Amino acid sequence: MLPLSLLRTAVNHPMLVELKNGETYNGHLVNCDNWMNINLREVICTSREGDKFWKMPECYIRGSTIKYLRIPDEIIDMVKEEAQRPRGDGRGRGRGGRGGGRGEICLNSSLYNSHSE
Amino acid sequence: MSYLPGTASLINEIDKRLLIVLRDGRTLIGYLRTIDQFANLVLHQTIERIHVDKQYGDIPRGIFIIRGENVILLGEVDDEKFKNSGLEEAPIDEVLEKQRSLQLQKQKEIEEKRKALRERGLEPSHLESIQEDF
Amino acid sequence: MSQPSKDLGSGSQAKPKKESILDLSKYIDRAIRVKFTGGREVSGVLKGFDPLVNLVLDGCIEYVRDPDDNFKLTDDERQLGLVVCRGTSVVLICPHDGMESIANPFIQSAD
Repeated sequence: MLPLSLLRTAVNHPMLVELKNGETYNGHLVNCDNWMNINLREVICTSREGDKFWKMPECYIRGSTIKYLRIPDEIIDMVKEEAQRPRGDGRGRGRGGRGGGRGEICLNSSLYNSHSE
Repeated sequence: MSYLPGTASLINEIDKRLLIVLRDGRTLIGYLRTIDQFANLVLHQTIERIHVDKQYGDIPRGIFIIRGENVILLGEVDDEKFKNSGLEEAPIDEVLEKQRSLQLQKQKEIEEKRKALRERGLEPSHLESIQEDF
Repeated sequence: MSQPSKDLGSGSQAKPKKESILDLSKYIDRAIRVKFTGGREVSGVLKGFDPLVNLVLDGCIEYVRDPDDNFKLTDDERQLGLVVCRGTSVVLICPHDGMESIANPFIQSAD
């Protein structure tokens, strides 16, 4: 399992992306590619100092400008399941129960902490 | 112990609890779950550790996918040496508060230096310790 | 326009023809906001683009930054007109409409 496989598993889930310039983006991952370029939807952008906020309906972020991504805890279990599954038709199974909400709250509350430094 | 060349040496660290220092100065501690050829990392059950002087506090942060280029160093913490390091854990709110006032103070010093340089007809630059051109 | 090279070997692993995840055609003749490495930010009407994300923006406005801080915007703007943006330095693209400054949305979760 590679870091980018984990990222692909996180599609449609909430995540926090911090860029090298210190800005953070909270949104749902729409898609990503092998360069870690990503599309997010329903995004909240936070300035480097954590004092200004913008919302944007969607955005595209160049992978090379990313510092890190934080994803909900449950994604790592999903990717394990996927790895154990015998190779076949692959992706696109509509697994029930997205459970994104909890992750979102979790990410948001800790995001706030990250700016009270 | 022999090391694999380059990024492959990280394979030996998988599933260990590692301390990672990022280029922005942050310290993360988490289980290294997976890596790739770019030294991108996945950290699990991560905490961010904030150090101020000899005190530190932890903030739970969950899962990280870190782009390798942002990592300065990573390694296992030697429990014995850690115990003898003189570092002591403190409530995170306290540590954050100290960190904040320290940062404000530093910022003030920078502004003052800037002003002093301007008054002497010089163009201030590089006053932040490492201001990389992202 | 150049096409991605054909799968040379006759191997069964068909190269998935990677289409860019960024569909800029939907932004043509619409205002977009672009951020660059180094901290510049502009907005303008997208008139053209290429696969390397070089952009042509019309009626472009640059958001002027704090002289002491390359990453802090001020309320000032300056008109740039018709501009070509180098793709390699693009950090972020988002639609200009719908982007708005808001109050801290995380504050309620900080109890």
